[in-house]
Amino acid sequence: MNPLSIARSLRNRCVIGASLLPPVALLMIAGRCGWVPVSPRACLVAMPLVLGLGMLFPGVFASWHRWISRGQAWLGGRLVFLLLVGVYGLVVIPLAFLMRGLGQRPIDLSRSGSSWVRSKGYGSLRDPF
Amino acid sequence: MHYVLGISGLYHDSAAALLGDGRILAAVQEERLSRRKNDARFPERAIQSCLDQAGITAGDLAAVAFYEKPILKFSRTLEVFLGWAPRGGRAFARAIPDWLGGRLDLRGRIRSALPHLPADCPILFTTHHEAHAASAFFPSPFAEAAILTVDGVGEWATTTIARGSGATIEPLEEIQFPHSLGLLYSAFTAYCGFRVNSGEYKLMGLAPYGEPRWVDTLLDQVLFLHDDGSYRLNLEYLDPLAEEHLTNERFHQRFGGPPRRPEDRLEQRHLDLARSIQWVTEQAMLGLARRAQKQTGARHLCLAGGVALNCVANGRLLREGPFEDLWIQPAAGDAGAALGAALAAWHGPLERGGMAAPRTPPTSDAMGGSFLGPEETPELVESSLKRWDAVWERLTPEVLQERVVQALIEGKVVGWVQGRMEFGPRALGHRSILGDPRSPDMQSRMNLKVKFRESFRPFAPAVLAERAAEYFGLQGESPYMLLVAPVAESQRVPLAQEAEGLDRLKQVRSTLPAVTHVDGSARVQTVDPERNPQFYALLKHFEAKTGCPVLINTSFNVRGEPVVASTEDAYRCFINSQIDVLAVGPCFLERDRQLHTSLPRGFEAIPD
Amino acid sequence: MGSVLRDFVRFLGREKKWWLAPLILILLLLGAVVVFSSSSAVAPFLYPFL
Repeated sequence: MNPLSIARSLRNRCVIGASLLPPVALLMIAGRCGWVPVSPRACLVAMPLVLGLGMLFPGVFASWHRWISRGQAWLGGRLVFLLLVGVYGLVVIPLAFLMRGLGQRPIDLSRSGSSWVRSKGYGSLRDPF
Repeated sequence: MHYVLGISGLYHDSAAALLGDGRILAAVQEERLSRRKNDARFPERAIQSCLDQAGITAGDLAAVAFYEKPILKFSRTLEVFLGWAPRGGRAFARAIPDWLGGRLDLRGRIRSALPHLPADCPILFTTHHEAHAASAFFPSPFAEAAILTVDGVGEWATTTIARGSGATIEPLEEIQFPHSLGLLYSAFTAYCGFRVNSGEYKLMGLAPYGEPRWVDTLLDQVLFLHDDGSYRLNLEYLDPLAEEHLTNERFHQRFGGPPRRPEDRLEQRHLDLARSIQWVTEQAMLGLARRAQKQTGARHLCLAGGVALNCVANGRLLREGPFEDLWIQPAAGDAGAALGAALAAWHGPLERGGMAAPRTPPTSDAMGGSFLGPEETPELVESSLKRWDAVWERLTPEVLQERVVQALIEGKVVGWVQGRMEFGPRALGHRSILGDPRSPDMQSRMNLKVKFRESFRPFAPAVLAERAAEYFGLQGESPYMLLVAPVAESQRVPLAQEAEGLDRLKQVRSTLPAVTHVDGSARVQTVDPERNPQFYALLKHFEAKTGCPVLINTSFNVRGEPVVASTEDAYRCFINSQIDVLAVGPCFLERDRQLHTSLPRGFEAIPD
Repeated sequence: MGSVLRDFVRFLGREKKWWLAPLILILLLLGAVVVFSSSSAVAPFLYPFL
């Protein structure tokens, strides 16, 4: 086994182990709020144990990991969507109106007159802009 | 040798191309290898295929060129939202994650895909339209030419005019987003119920069935054509940030109803809309060509960009436009921009970071028939067939042709896989399905039973170059099937009475009914012995037996599938469709001798 | 991501489009978090605390 594949396998084991943490963490929060009779301290102790369990037996927990990462992606997607809608409302829209107030609109919506724009040249190939 | 790799992708039709000392060694579309039509993912398979074909590794590359300026494009995206706000919040939230997820840091993306790329190998960026222009001019046979590129949108430009001279391209002027002919055509494609970025061909194929009833409305309300060749879109009718349709409620009211859903019946209104937008596009292209001629004074025109795949408009440009001759990049869409990016880096001046290589215009063109993809050895073909328990005979080239021609004469449909795969959307006789064009029911049969697609879609004729003029009203050659020309008067059959709408399909209009569209036109491919010797020999053979130098040539795939690449793809497609005979490399297979009657599909079906 | 940021600064300077800077900065910061949380091995560790 070369160092690269060892690192990869270690990383996979970490990821699978970590996927066991969310339920324990949720349990801890529930315990702290007094919804379930579980001591948060016990959860804290359990965390490294389940992590180690996942790392030791990645095959057993692989499908659990798949489900949780799917859920995570779904939740992440929703969260990002809301976040970006927020950015749109709080940054893009005010900036757009500010610019229009200053007499600037980045896209040309007029209907009349030639639409030819003189080319500014291609610019350097080294720059991604 | 100095190797330059060009890459395009991440939006639609990802591809890679490889130059060796400026010669085009290989070019491959990702979809052919990943088996997902219009695949937009980073083209890792295509890159590997290009390197393999040249027998090199990423460590041998002297430069890598990407076909766009990601930062400029991202900033344009933001500016469009700023111009469009307060509308567009949803689109913003959907579009931005892709950008942040890997479209911005292309250097990082390319280096991680090519870990053996030398640290000092430069990664270069052309603009989108520079890549199109380079793909149109550098491989063309012209020393000097006007270059016109027209597509949906790149960074800001949607249409550009440039002057090509020797090894330099000088951009002159452009039309910018949101005013875009490509976008408008796509808006109508979506409105008529076809998929944007792939259904445009269908709209074009549908056009001759309709009447140009909507032209005046279009020109009065939606697209304003100016005398100087430029145009503007009326954004009161279009919504460039919409997720499903590019048209809005106002548009739907003006054009007689909501957008057609893909499963809905095609009505006369849709046929008329197709005809109208096609006519308007042709007028706009003629105006742009006249402008390009005026600005450059050139006698020749090079074309690229998605709109240059509109072969009906190209045919009119050649017949009615101001240029003596026309050369169109066969991979005019974004796939070809991978090649353009590499060529722009190779010929680009030193001060811009290019390699400043001189250029000698080739005598025909530098695309080598566009046969730039991988090819399997006879041994590999046989081992693939063996894996699938196929039943085949290995024949000499002469006997293979004999048997294929015999099958064609018997009215059979033949799958023909020979030599290197084509680059670009058209199959040009290396990954083709062939049929006898003299048969009146061949078009319907091939559409419905072989390709499982709409019966209105026309097929293209491949004709011996030296006999093209007898059959088609075509000036010069059309080796890449990018020009539509009328079927010659001498071949036409007069009609007693013209039918209406899609019923016109069943009427016989010429001695080659299967390739004659309802308006009496055909999308011609001329086949010459220099670029395409094997296919030329087959046509010669067919001509010797029948007197007819024409074959139906359509791409080897079924609906929703990319054109076949390997023997395995071809065998699966052969078994799962009603193709009667398959000739792959030296191997000859007949359908009724095979053990399988169906096989699992090897591609991701993408609705079209 | 460092080189991308550098490219942006040079781009905004060349085009004199400094008004885009706040928006780009916010999105790049957000991008750092999003990319971090979806591709890094540390991501699942973050999840319980998000």
